Amino acid sequence: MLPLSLLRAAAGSPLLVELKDGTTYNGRLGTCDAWMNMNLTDVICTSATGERFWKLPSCYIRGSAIKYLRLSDAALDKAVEDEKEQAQRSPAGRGGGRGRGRFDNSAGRGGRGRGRSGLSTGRGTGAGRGRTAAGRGRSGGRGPATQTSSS
Amino acid sequence: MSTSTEKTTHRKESILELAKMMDTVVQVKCLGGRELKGTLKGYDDLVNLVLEDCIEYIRDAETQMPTDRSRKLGLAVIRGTQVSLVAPQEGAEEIANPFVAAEDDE
Repeated sequence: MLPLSLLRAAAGSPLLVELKDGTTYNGRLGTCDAWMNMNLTDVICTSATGERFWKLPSCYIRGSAIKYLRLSDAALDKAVEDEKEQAQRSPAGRGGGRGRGRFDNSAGRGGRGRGRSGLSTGRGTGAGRGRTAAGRGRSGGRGPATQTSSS
Repeated sequence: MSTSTEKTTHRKESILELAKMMDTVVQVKCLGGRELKGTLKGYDDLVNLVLEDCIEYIRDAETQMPTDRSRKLGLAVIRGTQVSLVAPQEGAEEIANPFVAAEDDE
């Protein structure tokens, strides 16, 4: 799961962007590129103090000015699906083997994550990881398995 | 396959949508906090901008927030590396807090 592939999967969905100067922009993501430059539509701009608000029909944000993004959980599920689709579609030949290998690994990571989440209930660590595994479980139907392993 | 083609078009094509803002008034935010307004007369892939009748909003000395006061810059070229945000002026307006109502709904 790469940050930019998650962002690309979030195209068309609502998004919150905070810029380095502290202003936030709530809008629907139009397009984005490899530099994290993006176009938003139906934007609500909030001043850094959180006291003033503006409505903008659209805006272009330069990636280098961004502090962080917040996106919906649905974007994560979509990114996982896109990743799977990509793994299936990539042709066996033509140097695609490496990319596929990576995708296979990521599937393995999901498996390991399950184990970790089981451990983490004992150790009380990696809440973030646990949630990721749960997210995968939800979309991949592994939810019950996770519960079994942790109990 | 279609996904990979989509991806290449994503990478090759600039996502810049400034063409439709040409000859209209735009608001520009710069890194460092300056805010400008002017008529967009030209731009390039690096987001260098040409603004005509450009004004800069004077910032409050204490809060560094732009005020209603402004100074005239005239015809200006804004360097792309310093641009953090470009938005059309048309349709932009200050509104009351829109998130209060949303929170009430929940």
